[in-house]
Amino acid sequence: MEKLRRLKYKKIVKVGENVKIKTLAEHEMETGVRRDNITGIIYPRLIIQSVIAKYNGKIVFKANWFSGVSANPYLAFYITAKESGLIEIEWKDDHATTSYKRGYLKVINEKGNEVLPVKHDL
Amino acid sequence: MIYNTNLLNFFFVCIISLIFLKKYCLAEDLISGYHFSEPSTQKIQDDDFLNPGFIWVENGEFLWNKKEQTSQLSCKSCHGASSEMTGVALKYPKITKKGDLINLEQQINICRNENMGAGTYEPESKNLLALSVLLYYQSRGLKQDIKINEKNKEYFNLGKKLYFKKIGQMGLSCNQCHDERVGQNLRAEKVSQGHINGFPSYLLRWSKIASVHKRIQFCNEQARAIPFKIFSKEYNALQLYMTWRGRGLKIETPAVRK
Amino acid sequence: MEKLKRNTLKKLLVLLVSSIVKVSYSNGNPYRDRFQSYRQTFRIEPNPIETERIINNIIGEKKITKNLVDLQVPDTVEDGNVVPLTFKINCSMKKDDYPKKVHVLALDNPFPEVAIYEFFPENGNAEVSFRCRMRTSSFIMIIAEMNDGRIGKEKKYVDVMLGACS
Repeated sequence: MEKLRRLKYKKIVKVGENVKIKTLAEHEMETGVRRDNITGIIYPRLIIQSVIAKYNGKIVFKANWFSGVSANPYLAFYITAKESGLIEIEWKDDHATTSYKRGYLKVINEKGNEVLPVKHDL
Repeated sequence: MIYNTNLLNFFFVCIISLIFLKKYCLAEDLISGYHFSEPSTQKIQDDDFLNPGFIWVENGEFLWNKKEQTSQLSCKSCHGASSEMTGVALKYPKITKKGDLINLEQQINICRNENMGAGTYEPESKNLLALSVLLYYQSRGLKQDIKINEKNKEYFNLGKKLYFKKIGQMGLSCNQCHDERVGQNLRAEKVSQGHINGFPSYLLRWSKIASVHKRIQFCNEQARAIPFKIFSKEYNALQLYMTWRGRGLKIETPAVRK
Repeated sequence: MEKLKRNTLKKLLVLLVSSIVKVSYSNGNPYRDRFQSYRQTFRIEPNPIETERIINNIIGEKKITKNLVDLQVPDTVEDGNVVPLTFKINCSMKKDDYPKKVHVLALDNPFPEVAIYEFFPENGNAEVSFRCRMRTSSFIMIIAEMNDGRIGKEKKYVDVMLGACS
């Protein structure tokens, strides 16, 4: 079964608002200092090394983690809403396997119209 | 009409004092394990996003809708959506037609084996716990009430006997801590009343969901006794007694405990 | 005479062996595990000198600015596996005033560095909350490297009832 990733934020926001983005990943975060009770085998380290957040393709936040982060890691941070667009979160493993979660953020101005990242004339 | 005010006053005082006696002197109130944990732990349980137990709920939802290769059946095709299973988990542990006592996890395995033609899950495996958590989560907020009748009377008595039986090198019985020493410190932790209304719950010490049986096994190891096997008759009986003991408490699954 | 010589030699030998054992025990050598049943973790002793070195590497000779970091952690936590932690850097998050890197250190962990966060002006609010592991009751330290070379430092003591393995 694929490992679960959760992403949550306020879907419709105004321009200039700070949006809190909450993420939760399902991961054991094996520290590399634990051993099996019976056989004594040391479990090798396997943690999420980095979390990268992208907003419309641009990196807006980066976290580098070590073995001191707890299992099933939770992370919350803020971004400023400028225009509607894609929010992508990328989790990167020790084995360099990556997993993604993405969502759409809708930004409206004072008149209630959506602010699109691409300008176009009709 | 003429009221005897003196008599009325006397009755009033009597009733008030009875209520106080019940509440503070007899201390029969049931307290959930939630109130024995630190505020930092309570905060994790309160928020559905912070709570890591919801990973299991979502995985369970995925398994509920997944069709098995062997029979092209999923749990959903017989039982409907998982939200329709409200209150089902309250009936467990339950007596089967054969007369055995089984809990919800065993029932899931039986259902998979006989009706779906798929293999059973290992005890304490992630998939089994995910389904179990999902079903308990559907009756979150409902009160535990299990009926003791002719059928399960025998198991209930066995469970009660086990609860008061002294075991292990330490010679401890369940009631010595969870009835007599409630609220006191046992090394670094506070002794709770030992209710199982939050189980299967997310235990911080193992960073994963643990079932009731696994938790009782751990408790037995702490008392230096040889624990029974998971899904054994004794643990099912004990679970039945503990569910009866905490009747009236609300289900909190997935709870976060130490 | 012969007896005295033998006795003194014996005593010396005992002293030597015991001192060797003591030294190796105090270093927390993993060979000790051979005589015991396997524990769940093998001990890597926290190294204060190493921790000092890491902190010095980050700060260097830069000046520390006060009241830059807000740190919220509970005073006591039940389990070292999950210590909820929230920090905030007090700055305007404009182009010239934002934290480039924020280090989170748990000083008595065998690996003191817990996380490094990188911020950008797009963040709007330099606040992060996450959960970390702690081996024992110790200080948690936040060091913020600002864009213009300032350094913010804050530490708080957390009581851990049951330590985590890391």
